Amino acid sequence: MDSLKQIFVLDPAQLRGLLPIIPALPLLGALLNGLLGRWYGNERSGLVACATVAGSFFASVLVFLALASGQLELHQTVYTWFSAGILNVQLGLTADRLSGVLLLVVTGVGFLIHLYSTSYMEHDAAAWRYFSYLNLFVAAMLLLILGDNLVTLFVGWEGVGLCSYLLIGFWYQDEAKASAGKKAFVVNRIGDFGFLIGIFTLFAVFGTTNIDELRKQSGALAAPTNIAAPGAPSSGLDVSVRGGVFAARTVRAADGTPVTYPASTYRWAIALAMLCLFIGATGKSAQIPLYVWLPDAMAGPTPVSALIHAATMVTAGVYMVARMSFLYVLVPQILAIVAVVGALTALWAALVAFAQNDVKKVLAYSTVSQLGFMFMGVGSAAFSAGTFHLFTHAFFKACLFLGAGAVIHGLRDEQDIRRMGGLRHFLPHTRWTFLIATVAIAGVLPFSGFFSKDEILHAAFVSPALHAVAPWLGPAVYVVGTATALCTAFYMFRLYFLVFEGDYRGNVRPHEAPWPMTSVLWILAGLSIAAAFIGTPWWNWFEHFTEPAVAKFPGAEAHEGVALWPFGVAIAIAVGGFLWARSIYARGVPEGGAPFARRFPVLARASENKFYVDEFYGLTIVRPLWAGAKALHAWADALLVDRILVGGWGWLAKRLGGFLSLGQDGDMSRYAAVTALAAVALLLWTVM
Amino acid sequence: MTVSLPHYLALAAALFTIGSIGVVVRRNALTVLMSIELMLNAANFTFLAFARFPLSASGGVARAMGGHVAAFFVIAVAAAEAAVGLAILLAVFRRRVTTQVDELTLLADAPPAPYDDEPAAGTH
Repeated sequence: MDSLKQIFVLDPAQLRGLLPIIPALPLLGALLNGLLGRWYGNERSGLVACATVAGSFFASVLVFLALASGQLELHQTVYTWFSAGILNVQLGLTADRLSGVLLLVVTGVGFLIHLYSTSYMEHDAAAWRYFSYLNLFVAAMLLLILGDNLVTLFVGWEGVGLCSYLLIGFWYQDEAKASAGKKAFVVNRIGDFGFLIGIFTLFAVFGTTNIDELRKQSGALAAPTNIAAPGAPSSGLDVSVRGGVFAARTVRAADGTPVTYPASTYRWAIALAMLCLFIGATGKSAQIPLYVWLPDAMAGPTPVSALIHAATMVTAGVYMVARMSFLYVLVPQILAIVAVVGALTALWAALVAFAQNDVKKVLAYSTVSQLGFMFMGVGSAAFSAGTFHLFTHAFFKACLFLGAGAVIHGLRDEQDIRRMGGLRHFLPHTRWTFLIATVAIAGVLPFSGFFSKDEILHAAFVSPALHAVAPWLGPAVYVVGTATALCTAFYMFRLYFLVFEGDYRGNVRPHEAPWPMTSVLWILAGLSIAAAFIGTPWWNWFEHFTEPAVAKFPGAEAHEGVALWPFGVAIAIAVGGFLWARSIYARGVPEGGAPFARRFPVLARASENKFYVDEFYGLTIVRPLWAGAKALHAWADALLVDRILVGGWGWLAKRLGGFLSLGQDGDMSRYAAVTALAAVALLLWTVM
Repeated sequence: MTVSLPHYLALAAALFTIGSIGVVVRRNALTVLMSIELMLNAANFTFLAFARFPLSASGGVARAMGGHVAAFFVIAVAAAEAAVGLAILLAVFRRRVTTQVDELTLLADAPPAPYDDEPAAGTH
């Protein structure tokens, strides 16, 4: 074992040099495919795309092994990007215990999905463009993960948003798909605006955007003596703030001693910053109120939905909260907002998923719901639990989406589950892997979803952060989460039964996917099982591993043993959901709809129509904005700018020139007369 | 009555005025050229008058002869100008069959193009 370690675990100093290569390789692939792909063809661009991501994956494994063998973090500064005043942004890459895990997920799952895509996209004429975008996405995502500076992180953040837009609208000839891409982009921009304000606020407070610096400076704020109870006299802080508004305005008392601001002043500013960053996360990670883009994003190719809109990009918000955990623990109120938003989103999306008939739409709402679970976890200050769910979710959700892709592929682009059924006979590999992933997401005992979900629910129940805000909040989040878990099991098994069990209800003859697709499905299904065993309550290697990278809420002690009662509840929930779904959907959709849909037709129709949220947003936000934009265009742009400011000056110059040119009629005699008169006038002026 | 400096100057001014009025009001280019000669000669007259009645005694020979020298220069320049001017006039006449200056208005600004007063609206 030791000799093996010596072979694979390089010297950290050498490994640091690998860090820039990790995002650079997919970027190179994106450039090659984008510039030359049309020339060298789709098959080779698929090869280039897979090879570059595989190279990144290999480098990530080496980095991860170094981290697993005791290294806390690897850091490499590439160069100073820009510097202005006290703002000094370096392009630096950090792989710590948290980003190391994400590295493996992104490059590993990313590679599998690239492989799957080579088969899925083989009939598409512009697959080289697809692979270029996909590679660019991986590069941007890796930059987001590795960036040691909020500005660098933001570049990755925007980069993945761009690739998401490009890939949702990949089939841009279809207007609905193109506008789905646009919707995703615009909704994300709203969140990104919050994210930017968050970065600005942090810079204003601390005078730096470097995450490590922020961590160091927030350490002073986090010191237990400074966490004064509300109302208690605040002693003021001795924070070694390098720049920022507070440092610049330090005032001195009469005797010359500097008067520092009380902790509450800082806390308000940090709370604002953290709230704004979370608004960014609600956009990127599809939480209430900005989740509406994700279901529409299913217009993209299915592997894209698996990679970007399930496994990696949408978890960026969760990652960001975990990354900035050292600041979030300072403001439990904001953490509570995160947890509550997560819980509500989870339940809301699960209720919508009940009535969807498009296989990808069900999975999309399921993703929104699971992201809500992750935010429940990080909002309860259980950052590694939230990240663990991110980790396991990446596998089983990617597996589900790719399985759905195999079904759609095998049924010639059929997505309506009412015209499926009985596919277990036609697509055996897809069926088994889909079943495994369904069981995992539903949270049945030995599968990964069980442990990660259970850990989050438990953490929410006992969370000291939520308790600090309101004693009932933790249990309330727990109850909502448990109800959501029941819904999850129900709608996922409903999907499974309608697609794979019963009798086939479609017309085309289904065929199983080719081996590059099924082998990927099996690998992901295997990982959905295996991922469970690094995070069980008895041997929580994952939490232990990521512990140094995330902050702890003050007062949170180590888990006091293993509580067994939540296990019982969770198992009962998962099995209950399964039985409930089976009793209704085992033989396809019952005549006249499901029993509860018959009993509450209004509710069922509302759920089917996604509770009219899109219509509501359309009425309250989009339409007024549209009208405002039109009025602005008519008055400010067309009239004020175009006609008065731009056209007006031209008109004035033309008119003035026309007037002056009246004198230039070419009559030499007049010129001479004017010259003579001017000479006389000049003479008179000099004499007098 | 002794003819003194003011008389010479008055004559020069009268000549110059006649010349410049000729330049301005006469339409025949040939006459205009002749009027220019008149103006140049008025200038010559002034030079010579000041040479004859210097305003101060100092300066010596160079000073005393300066006005005469300048007059010769002006005569030379006037001759050259007349030669060039007549040559141009000849060329113009060959081309346009006229020497009326009010018909030679090629240097005029092009007649104003009819343009819309309103800037183009909605140029999107």
